[in-house]
Amino acid sequence: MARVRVENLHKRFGRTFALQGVSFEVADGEFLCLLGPPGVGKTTTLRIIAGLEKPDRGEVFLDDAPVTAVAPQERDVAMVFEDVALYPHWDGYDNLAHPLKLRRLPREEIDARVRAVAEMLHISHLLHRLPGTYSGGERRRVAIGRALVRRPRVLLLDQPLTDLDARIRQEMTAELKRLQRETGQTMIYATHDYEEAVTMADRILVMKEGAVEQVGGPEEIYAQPQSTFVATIVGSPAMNLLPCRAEWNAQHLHLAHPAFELALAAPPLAAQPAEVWLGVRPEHILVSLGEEGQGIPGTVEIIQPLGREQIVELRLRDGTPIKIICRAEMELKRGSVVRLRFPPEYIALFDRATGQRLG
Amino acid sequence: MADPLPIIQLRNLRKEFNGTVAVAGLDLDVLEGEFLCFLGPSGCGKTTTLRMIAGLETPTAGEIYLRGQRITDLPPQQRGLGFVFQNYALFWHMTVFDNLAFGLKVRGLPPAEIEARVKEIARGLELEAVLGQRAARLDLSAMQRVAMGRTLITQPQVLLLDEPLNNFRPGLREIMRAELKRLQLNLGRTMIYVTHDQEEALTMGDRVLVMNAGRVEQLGTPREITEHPASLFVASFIGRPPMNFIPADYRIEGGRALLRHGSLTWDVTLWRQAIEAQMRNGQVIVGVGPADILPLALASHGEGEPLRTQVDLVQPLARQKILELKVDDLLLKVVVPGTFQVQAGEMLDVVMPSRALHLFDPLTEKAILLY
Repeated sequence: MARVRVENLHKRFGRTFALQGVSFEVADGEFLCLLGPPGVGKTTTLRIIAGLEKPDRGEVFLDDAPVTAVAPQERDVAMVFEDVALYPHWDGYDNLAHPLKLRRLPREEIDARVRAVAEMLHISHLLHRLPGTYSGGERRRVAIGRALVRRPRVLLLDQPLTDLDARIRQEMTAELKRLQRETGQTMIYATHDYEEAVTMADRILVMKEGAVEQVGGPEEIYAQPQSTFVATIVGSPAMNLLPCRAEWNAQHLHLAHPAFELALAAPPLAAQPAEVWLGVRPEHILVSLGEEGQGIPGTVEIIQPLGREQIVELRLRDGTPIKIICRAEMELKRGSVVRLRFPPEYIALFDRATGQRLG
Repeated sequence: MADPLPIIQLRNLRKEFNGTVAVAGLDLDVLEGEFLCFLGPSGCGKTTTLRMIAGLETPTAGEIYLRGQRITDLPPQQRGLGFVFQNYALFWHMTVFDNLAFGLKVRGLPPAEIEARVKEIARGLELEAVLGQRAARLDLSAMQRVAMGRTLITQPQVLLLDEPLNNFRPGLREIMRAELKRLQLNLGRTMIYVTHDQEEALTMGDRVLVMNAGRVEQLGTPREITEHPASLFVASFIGRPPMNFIPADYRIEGGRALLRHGSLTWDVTLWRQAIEAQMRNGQVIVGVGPADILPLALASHGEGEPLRTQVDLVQPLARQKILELKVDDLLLKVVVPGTFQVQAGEMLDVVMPSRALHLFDPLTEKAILLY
C-alpha cells in the first residue's frame, strides 16, 4: 500500500479546463472520496494518478517518489471503471486470477489469493460461472475483486456503483467500507452521490470546476460546509438558502428577508457583506403548529413521509419555498399554518457575492 | 366527505408469458384522484400490470374496468389513459410548443384551440418561458415536465408512469419527487406510478401497492406499510436500512411469555394470546426496525434489558449514522442521530423495547398481528 500525493494538477482538453490546480494527499490505508457533480474533473484526476492521462502541469507522487513520467503498468495502481469490462469467455475464477498469472505468481499463491478475495466480496459462488450470468451488482463485485487481488499500492474506483438499484448500492457501500478497513487498502473513490461518499470515506474531497472546494471528514463536510456549493451537495433535502440583506453593527447582525427579520449576535468578522445567504438545514428548523406565537409563519404545501420523519415543503408569506424535516407524529396537512424558528447555533451565513461561508 | 369512487378496477387480472406467471390474479380498486404507487423488485409484475391497464399488454385472464366500463379489450388509444415512459421519448428537434401540441394536431384540432390548450398546460407546468426552445436543450426537470405535459394535454383520465425518475442523478431525484407530488396535487389527476425504489413510493404515494412474484403483498398508506408491514417480504423491502430479522424461540417461563435468541430475550407476555393463536410451530421471526434499537445513552429508563454489542461498522449519513452491531451470531443495523459519537471496535450497550417489535411466522412469512 502507498501514500499518494498530487500537486497542482492542471489539465486541458481543447478549450475545456478539466483541472485547474488540484492538490491533495491520501494517507497510507486511507479511503478518500472525490465528490462532485458530473464534469468537475473527478475522473480526470483518477486517470492522471493511474497514468492513463498526462497532466499539462503538476506532479503525482507515490510514497514521495514522483511517478508522473512512469508508465501506468509500472505504477502498480489499479482502477475500476464505471463501465465494468470482464472477460466474457472466462469464468469468475479466471477473471480474478488473470492479473496474477500475468505476474507469473506461483499457482498455489494465485489460488489462495483468488479464494480469499472471493470470500471477502461474497462472490465464491460466481467463480465457476461466466460473467454473462451475473447481475449488475455481481459484475461490480467481480471487477472490484480483480483489482483488489493484485494488492495494488493504490486502488482507484470511478463510480463503480452508479446505475445499481438503491438497495444493492446501499449494501455494497457497507461491504466496501468493511473490505477497505480489513485490507488496509489505500482507496480513492470518485462519485457524484453524496450518500456513497459520506457512508464510506475517511475523508471527502469536494470538487468544483476542476478545483478543490473543501476537504474534510464526512461529518465535518456536513456540519461545517465552507461554501454554498458544499452546503447544497451533501444532505437530502439540501440546506435551505434564503437571500437576506444584512446590517452589521458592533453587537448585532440584523437580517432582513421579505418574509421575516432576524437579529443575531454578530460574529467578529473581517468581511461584513450587505447581501448574504442564510443557510439552515431542514432538520434543524423548529416547527410549531398554529398561527399564534413566535416564529416565521409558513403554510404547508407538500408532505413526504419518510419512516419516523416527514419532509415538509412550506411556503413563507412571500412565497419563498422552504423544506423542513420533522417527526412523523406531527399532524400536518396541506394548508396547515405553522411557525418556524431557526436556532442561531444552526444558522450558517454565506457571502452572496462569493458563496463562501462567513465565520 | 364521501369515499372517492374507484376509477379503475382490476378483477383477477392475470398475465403469463410462455407459461411463466408474471401477474397471478390481481384485484385492485384505484381511487379517483389518488397517487398510487406500485412498488416491488424487478420482475414482480408491477410494470406488466401497468402495461395491461394501458392496453400495451393483453391479459391472459381477468378484467379491467374504467369508471365501471369494461375496457379489457379496448385498444390503448381508446382508453383515455396517458402513459409516461422511463425514457421520455420527446421529439428532440422540435420546440417545446410543438412537442406539447403534437397529440392535439394528430387529433385534428383547430390551431386556435391547440394554441390555447398548449398555453394553458404550459402555465400549469411552468414551461411558458421555454415554449420556443428545442426539447434537446432543456434541463432534465423541464424535459420531465414536457413529457408529462404532452400526455396531460390529451386530458387522460388517469396518468400512468413507469419509473420516470430512474435516469436522474441522486439529489435531483429527490427534488423531482417533490415536484411530481406537487404536480399531482395541483392537477388533482389520478396517477399510477411504478417504481422499485421504496423511498420514492413512500414519499410520493397516497397509497402503495407492494408486489412480489406477481402477487400483492400489501396495499396501504405509506404509514401503514412502514408501521405495520404485513409480511417478511414487505418488512425486508421497506426502510433504510430495512428491519433486522432475528429467529427466536417462544417459551413460557414462570408464567411469562418470552422470545429468545442466544443472549437476547424479549418479554411478550402482553401479546401471549395473539402470538399463540397465530404462531405455527413455537418459533417466530422477530423484526426490529433500525431506529428501534437504542443506545442505552439515548433510551428512557426501563425500556428493556441492556444488551452488550460490539460496533462493527459506522456509516455516517448526513443527519444520521447507520451502525452495524455484533451480538452473538447477529449483525444488527441501527440508525442513530448524526451527533451520536461512536467508533468501530467499541462496545455499545443497547436496548430493544418490546413495544417496538414486529413478529412474523417463519412458515407463512406473514406478520403476527399483536393487537
